[in-house]
Order: sequence, then structure tokens, then C-alpha cells
Amino acid sequence: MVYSFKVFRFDPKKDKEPSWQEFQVDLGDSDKVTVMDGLFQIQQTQDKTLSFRYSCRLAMCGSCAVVVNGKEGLACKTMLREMPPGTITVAPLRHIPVVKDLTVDLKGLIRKLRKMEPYFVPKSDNPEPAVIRPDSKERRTIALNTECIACGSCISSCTMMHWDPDYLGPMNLNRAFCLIADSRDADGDRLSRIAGENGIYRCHMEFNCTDVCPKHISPTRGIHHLKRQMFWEGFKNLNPFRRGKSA
Amino acid sequence: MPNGTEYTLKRDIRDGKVWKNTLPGMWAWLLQRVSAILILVFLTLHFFLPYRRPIQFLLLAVVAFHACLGIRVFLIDLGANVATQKTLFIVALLLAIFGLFFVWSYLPFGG
Repeated sequence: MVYSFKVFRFDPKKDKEPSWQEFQVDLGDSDKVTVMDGLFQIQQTQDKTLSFRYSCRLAMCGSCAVVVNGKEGLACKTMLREMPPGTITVAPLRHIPVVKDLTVDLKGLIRKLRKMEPYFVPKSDNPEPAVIRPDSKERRTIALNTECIACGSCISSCTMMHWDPDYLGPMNLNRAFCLIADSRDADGDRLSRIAGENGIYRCHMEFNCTDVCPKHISPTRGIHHLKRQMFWEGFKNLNPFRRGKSA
Repeated sequence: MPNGTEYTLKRDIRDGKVWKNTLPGMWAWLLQRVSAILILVFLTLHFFLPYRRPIQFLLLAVVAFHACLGIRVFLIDLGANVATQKTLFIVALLLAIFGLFFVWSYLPFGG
């Protein structure tokens, strides 16, 4: 079957402005073909200069996130049989600088992620081994939010990234949530890092991130958990008899 | 960037595809903000022209929508299951429509 693709093309070294290029791609009779198969076919047989990222090709690594027909998703997971008839538009992720064609520069995103301290820091008085039962409230609160593959689809879909480019973004706040909600993790100053102007309060519950996540995670759920936690932390500071750090 | 300039793709609201792909959560956000601005407009109009039925109706309508969508925000803030957010949007709209006509029918206009 022949599919019609309209792909975003932009080489900052050569082009002044981006453009769209149309390709006709014959992907045979299989109904299990994906957008990635189409991109491979284009690169191998029609235009070797087409640039796109991929790695695992089975929705595990998050490298191939693109915007297909206006909706973010993984190219290796987006089946062509689910697309409406007509031209399939493939564009790079939004709100992230474009390196070339469908490849975006994730440096800024990773820098923001590093600011979260996105790794587990154990408490000094953790029992060994620290036991969290699978049916405990804590485990059920974190749920599947740890499955994030950092593909960037949520960052691309969140319109708050447009209004505030310094907004940490659903991906980074989701990671912060997984660690803050983990009782084994040392408190540190994670909460204060995300409570600033570009943190959790930039989320206005659009739910675009939840809609496009290829792992069916809801960063909004995590962010709202953090908002509730910040709210109660604020009350603790009002207590004149509190022990520990002053406000 | 290699040549010093940076190009970032953004949603273009002039593109019809963007609106076709807009999902309920985003519509709820948009309607909440638009109804807030309209409340300011109609409230001001109502302040200067208090006895005009159309202005009263429009003001009541936008307040109903803003309030019902606000209840949805409130429920999710308090911890409602995020999987229900689309259902809550539909429920909020229906509540606003029925609430609006219920209140408008039973308001004692006097005379």
C-alpha cells in the first residue's frame, strides 16, 4: 500500500526557513507498519539526507518521539492503519530547538532534568533492605509514573512551555514527583526546587501531557500531588511550635 | 546551535489541524479562561446597564460555565482520579447548561 507522507525539513546550515516535503512510500501489504517504517523507507530509498532519531524501535527508549498529524507520539509505536486516510504529516517535537529535520536538541531539557536531582538519594537512617509493599498506599500513589522514558512528548504538547520556556515541564516534574513521593528518598530541597515560579504552579491542568504520553502516564496527577504537598507544607510553616528549620 | 540561530516549532493557532486535535482537557482550560474574561466584560456592562435582560442572561451564562468548570478544577486539585477528567468536563458543561436554565426560569423578575 502506498502512503503519502509530508515531512518537516529544515537544515539550519543550509536553509533560511523550514519547509515541508512530500513523499510517496510503498510499504507493502502488512498492516503492522509504523511511521518509523515510512521514515526508514524514505531515508533509504528516496532522500538520504532525512534526519530522525531512533534506537530501540519498540517503544522503550523514547528516542523517536515526533508529532504525527498534530499529535505527539513515538514513531515506532504509531501504526499507519490507525491514521485517517490522506497525507500523514510528520513534524519534530515542539518547544525544543530543532537540530535538523525531525531531530531536536535535548540539551536544554536534560539540563532542567539535572536541576531536579533526578536520582534516588537514600535517607541515612533507611533500614536495609527498605521494604515498600507493592500494595502499600505509597506504591499505589507513585503507580506507573516511574515508567517515564523521557521521550519529550509531554513537553511538546504542553502549551505552558510556549508561554514560559523556563517552565520545568511535565517530564521533569513527574520525575520529581516519583522521588518526593518515595519515603526512602532523602527530603533534601527537592520541594523548594519545584515550588518556584517555573515549577509546579505553571501547570494549569490542560491534560495534554496525559493524552500524548506513550507510556500512559499522567504527569498532571504527579504535579497535583506535589501541589497538595506544597499546600500542606505551607501550613507547617505557620505552626509557631514547629521543630526544625524556620521558614 | 551550529550557525548560531535557534528554530523552535510552536503550535500555530491559524492551523485548523491544531483545533481538530484539541482534546477535552485543553478545551476546559480554554473555556475557563475565556469565560473569565467574558465575566469581566458582561459584569461591567451589567454595572452600567443593570436592567437589560440579554446582558443579565449572558452574565449568568458565563458565570455558570466558569463556576462549573471551576468545580472540575477543584475536584482534581483535591485528588479526584485524573482518568475522570474528560467525564468531569462533560458533566461540568451539562451542569452549567441545566443550572443556567433552571436558575433563569425560576428567577423572580418581579412585576
